[in-house]
Amino acid sequence: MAENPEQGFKLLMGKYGEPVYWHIRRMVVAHDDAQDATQETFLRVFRAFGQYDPQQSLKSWLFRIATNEALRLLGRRQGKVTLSLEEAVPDTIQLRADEYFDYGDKLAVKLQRAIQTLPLKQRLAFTFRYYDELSYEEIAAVTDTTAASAKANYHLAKEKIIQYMNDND
Amino acid sequence: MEQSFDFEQIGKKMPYSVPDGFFEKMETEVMSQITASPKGKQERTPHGRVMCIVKRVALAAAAVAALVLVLHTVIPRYAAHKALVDVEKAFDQLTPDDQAFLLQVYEDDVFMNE
Repeated sequence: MAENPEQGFKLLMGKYGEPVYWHIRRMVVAHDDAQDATQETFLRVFRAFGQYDPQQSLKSWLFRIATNEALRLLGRRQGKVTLSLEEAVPDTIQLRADEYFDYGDKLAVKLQRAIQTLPLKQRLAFTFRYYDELSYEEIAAVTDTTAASAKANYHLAKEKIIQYMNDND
Repeated sequence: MEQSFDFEQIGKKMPYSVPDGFFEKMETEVMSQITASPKGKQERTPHGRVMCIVKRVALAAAAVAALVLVLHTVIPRYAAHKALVDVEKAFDQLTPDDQAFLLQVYEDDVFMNE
């Protein structure tokens, strides 16, 4: 990346483009919003790559920028500049349904609804662990918390999701 | 007995989809924005900015050093060459007897033939 920024960046996008998009998509739900936020994420990554500390996990750094971009987008929906991890998020799954959403798979839709009911920190801990298979240390680096806290948030989220899936038809 | 939800039933399946060729198009779009926009330049860190200044100063110092070197090597050689040409011209204007005399003198000069 340092020797040939554009070529290096192309490789980076090739590897992380999809995971970053899906992470943002799970947060903002609508495809168009996820597309905008993903593009903005990678533009920010390119401009700020000189500030990346190689001691850090690259994946955590990328997901942190992506999460911030998604929070900015969710915040704008509430008329704010951004959203903090402590704030409640709007029920995005009901707000934005588009043509790239398959309502036919009821169980998959229900799981996403269950995830949307979680507080942000638990939602992030769960999706990062379940879908992106991040370690608790990596999740902690993204969400600015400790690995123990990330683990606790993940297990709390899992319990809540199981309860939601059992209770709601 | 109450049936409990099992994540294995769904795995990582999601109800979301994307248009065909979306990721390739997105990559192309981002790359074109990077190359087209003046903002596409990477931001320099404070350390990077200092290194840039240091490089420029070093480059200027190297240019001055090269100029001094040229002045010290090329110009004296040019002057010596010019002086030799002048001597040859003067020698050509001498009579054959004088030229023979001078050659005899130079041949006997112990310092010139060392």
